[in-house]
Amino acid sequence: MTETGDREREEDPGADERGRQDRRVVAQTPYDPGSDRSLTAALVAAVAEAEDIAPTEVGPPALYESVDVAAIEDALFRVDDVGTDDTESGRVEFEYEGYAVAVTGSGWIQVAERA
Amino acid sequence: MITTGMSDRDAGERDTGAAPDEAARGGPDSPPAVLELDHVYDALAHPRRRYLLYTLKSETAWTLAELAEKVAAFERDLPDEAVPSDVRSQVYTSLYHTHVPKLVDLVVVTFDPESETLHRAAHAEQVLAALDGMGAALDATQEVHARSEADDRDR
Repeated sequence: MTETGDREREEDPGADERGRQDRRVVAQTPYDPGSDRSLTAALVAAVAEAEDIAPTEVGPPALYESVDVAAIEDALFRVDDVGTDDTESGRVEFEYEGYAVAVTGSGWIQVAERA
Repeated sequence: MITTGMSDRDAGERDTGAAPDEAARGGPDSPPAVLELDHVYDALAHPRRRYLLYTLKSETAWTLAELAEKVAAFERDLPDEAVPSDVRSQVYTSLYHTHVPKLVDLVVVTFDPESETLHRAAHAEQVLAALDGMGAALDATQEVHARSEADDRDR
């Protein structure tokens, strides 16, 4: 566990509310759909932080083997034709490299391991 | 997938019918050649993959690191050496974890994980041809658009 992850976990009101006592969040990072950094890059950066390695050292396997990132992007962050984004409350979770990786519609990525 | 224009009754008959391939082989509504282009649309569906494929046209083999630099430069309209290293690393990551495996699945490229080298695969030719075709079609549309504007001004 990184110190950054630990500190950020205490600031996140959502983590305990969800009653995931069997989980320990080891990395958390914001994702901005409007930024240049793709969701894939943000997810890999979060896993790299959890593992304390560089993002370019994550994998194999590629994230592609675990999850369809474009589908997450579509489900949580797609802006519809009238320009409103009503998916703030969405949440997608998947397993990768032994971690439970979660993405929320409010723009957070959490990497958790079993406590 | 081939249900466009078909009534439920037709679809039901097809399910129980003796010739399940009939619709795919059949009339003008479902030409097989068009239906078999799914991998082309899929390959070209993401802007980053289109940049990657444009890049792939100039050489047949690329290391992932070279390709990431080219794609990043292309996307930002910068010279290769002006791409910041964090951007290069983000593009590398997005290619490695999402776009390259997708193109491997679609048999557009092969990827050797040891040397991290990409080569063109069986469907590359077709996808690159479609990419060229799109460019040409867009150019044509822009010409028509420009002409109609000129016509407006004449009035």
